[in-house]
Amino acid sequence: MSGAQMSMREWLEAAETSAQELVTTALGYEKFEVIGRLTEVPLKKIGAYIPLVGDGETAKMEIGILSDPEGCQALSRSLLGMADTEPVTTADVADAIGEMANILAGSIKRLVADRVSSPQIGLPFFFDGMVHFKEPLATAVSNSLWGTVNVLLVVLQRGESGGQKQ
Amino acid sequence: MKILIVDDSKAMRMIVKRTLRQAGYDDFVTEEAATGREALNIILQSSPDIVLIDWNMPEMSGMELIEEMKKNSSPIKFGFVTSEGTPEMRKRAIEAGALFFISKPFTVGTFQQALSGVLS
Repeated sequence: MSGAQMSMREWLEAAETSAQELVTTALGYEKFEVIGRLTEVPLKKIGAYIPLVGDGETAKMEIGILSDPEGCQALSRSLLGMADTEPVTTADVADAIGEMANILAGSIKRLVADRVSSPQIGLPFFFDGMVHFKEPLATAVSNSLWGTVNVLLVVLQRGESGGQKQ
Repeated sequence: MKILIVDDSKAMRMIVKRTLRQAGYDDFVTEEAATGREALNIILQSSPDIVLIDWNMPEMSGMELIEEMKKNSSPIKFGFVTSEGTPEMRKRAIEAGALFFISKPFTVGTFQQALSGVLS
């Protein structure tokens, strides 16, 4: 590892770079566009979070992909190569969005490998509604378009420094 | 020729199968396993020609699966298809005997490049 601890802005930029790769390869969309940034996660979304941690408190992150139900269904159909009108089950959506989070985290991990000591990614979890984390959190959100789907790309930092680093 | 795809995500198994078809391996028989344990059973029963393994899986990781494969079966070709991909992990995989290491997200070209020498 080298360099100073990453800021939330740097984490979000790494997430956006990784999302662009995911969107244009695995999902097959031509367009990825950041249309704004937020500092809070809107309520009542569905999506998946995946942990990304480093040794020695160098990172205690959660990376999230959030959208509305129709958006998550559209993303899932794209990942699975299904037609726009083809029905997709909740289980398939949970699996597909979780896999997208997994791919995204893997790509971020490669990007931050020289800034974070021994980065490790965990297993994704899918949710519908809102996730309450017990620890303080710093939050950075990228409001983005994946093709025509509005997606919130979320970076949360857990731990004592959460809520302070921006 | 038989290809075994080991990944806990049904979505990713489907994507890998589709990518194999698009990469020109549509005449290969593909089998799927959602866990390392399931993969070991298939390996013992049908001896696939190559095994494509995810790194991060619940219950048994990809590396643990390789250890079990070495204990329980004759040598089988394998490689990783995973969201991991740091130089350290690639090194660990190659040292364990992996013939290739495909990082997600991948393209059809990535598969062709990785598998061309292995499945010819």
